[in-house]
Amino acid sequence: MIVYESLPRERQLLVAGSKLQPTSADWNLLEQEIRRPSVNWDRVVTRAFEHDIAPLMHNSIRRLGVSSLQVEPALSRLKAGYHANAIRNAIVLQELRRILHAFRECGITVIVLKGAALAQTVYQNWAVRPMSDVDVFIRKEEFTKAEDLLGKLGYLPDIRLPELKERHLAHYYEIGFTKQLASSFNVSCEIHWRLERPSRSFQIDLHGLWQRAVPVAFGDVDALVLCPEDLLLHLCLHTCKHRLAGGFRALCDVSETIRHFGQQLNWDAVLIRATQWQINAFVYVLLRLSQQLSGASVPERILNALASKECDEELLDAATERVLEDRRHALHFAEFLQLRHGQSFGHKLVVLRKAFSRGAIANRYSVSPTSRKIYRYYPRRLKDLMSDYLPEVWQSVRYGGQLLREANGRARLAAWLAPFDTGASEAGLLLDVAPDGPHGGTRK
Amino acid sequence: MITLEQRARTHPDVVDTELEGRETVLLHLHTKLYYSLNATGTCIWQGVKEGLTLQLISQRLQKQFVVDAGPADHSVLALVDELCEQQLVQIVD
Repeated sequence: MIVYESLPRERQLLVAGSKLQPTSADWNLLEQEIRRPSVNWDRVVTRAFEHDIAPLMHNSIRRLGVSSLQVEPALSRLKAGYHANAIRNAIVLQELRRILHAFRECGITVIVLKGAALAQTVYQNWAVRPMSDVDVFIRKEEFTKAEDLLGKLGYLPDIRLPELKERHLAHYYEIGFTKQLASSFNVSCEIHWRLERPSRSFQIDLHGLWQRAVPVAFGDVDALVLCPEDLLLHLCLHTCKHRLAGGFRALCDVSETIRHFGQQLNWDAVLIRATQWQINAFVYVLLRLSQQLSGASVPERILNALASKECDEELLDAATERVLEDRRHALHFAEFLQLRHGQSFGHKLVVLRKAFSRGAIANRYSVSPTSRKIYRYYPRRLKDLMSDYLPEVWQSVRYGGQLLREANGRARLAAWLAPFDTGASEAGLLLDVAPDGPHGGTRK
Repeated sequence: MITLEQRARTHPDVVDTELEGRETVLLHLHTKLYYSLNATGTCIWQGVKEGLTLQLISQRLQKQFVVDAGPADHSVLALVDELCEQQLVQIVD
């Protein structure tokens, strides 16, 4: 079983540094590694950015108040990330307040979801929790009114065809709107009317969500946020929807929510509602990981009641590996393993074709996929793949069996997360919406 | 040349946020330039936002940080000059 103590030191540093209230052991580890580093801080900071926890790490290190010449350049990168996040979030908060004011004046009740709600209630610091957009939840019948208001505030819908919009309203759970504040500087607002696709098997009682929502002030304007138990369940559901690939920040959100609400959390209500929503196993894995990695205080009786046979150690280990893995390599590494251990020549050929497809090269080098110039990039692609994956190639040669086990863990995880898969017919209904990626449904 | 009798105002395309420890981060939305101010810089920035003359900002700085008029005046003029150069503030009169 993977627990905090068994993690490599670099990962321990990421976990320890990303807590709002580190323990004395966490402080000791941070101080020791800053004063007499045994890890590669440059790599730790890169991982912190990949996992969206750089501002949290800077916040801890700033509070610790120690530095050393050796690690100063890496820590400066963290500080810059903290500043950039603070200013980005200040803009997001400003936009959120504008939206909330406009909605309030027109009588639209809003539940603020995800990042903004967490920054305001759990983290209570807008500089530490990265967020890419504003997520607000409204009643479906108020969508048209909300859309008009967003239009007046300068937001354009990501989906403009009326028939496509209708399909989204019927079969999806959110539509994004984007406002350009300056050239290449956008803010997005996602309007949600459900928490999940109606086609998925979860039974989320929207009426109950509204009834239980609690008021919170976002500066000079009031709005609602999910009650603590619903917030926790939504975070677990959302993290699983993104295949646990949203970085370690997603687990920090769960752990910090538990820490922040503490005794206020009604664990029996969490258990009952998880059962009603039919998401027990997903909630179990996230809570168990929060407990094992971040020390979140989750009652054992609740964990036992949520657990099912499928949630065994192999699955928990695979889930732990997923939330802590190196994000850049995570994308292709499973495919690389297929290249070495794939069942047939055909399997291997598929991987090669994908790695060297026009699309992959066009995307990586910003060149048109139809341009003849694309052939010039093939040698560079080979060189870049070699340099990106050299450590993995070496490890694969050395520890092939272990890596293959990890690949099996991934396959197990993928099967467990299958309820979040998008069926081909469903994808067809939504036409321009890709399956949920690590950062949400992408639009062409 | 900027003088202490003048006032400055923040550029309309600049967003700012104050962090814990009296640190302020500024971002110019068009140039994408971002700037961080320490505690004294934050004090000066707040004065600019309140529409105070640079003289009054300097007096506030002297009081808050227990510094003499000379270095305080110099700090205010130097920072406002730099912020002007980076198009983060504009001189109004």
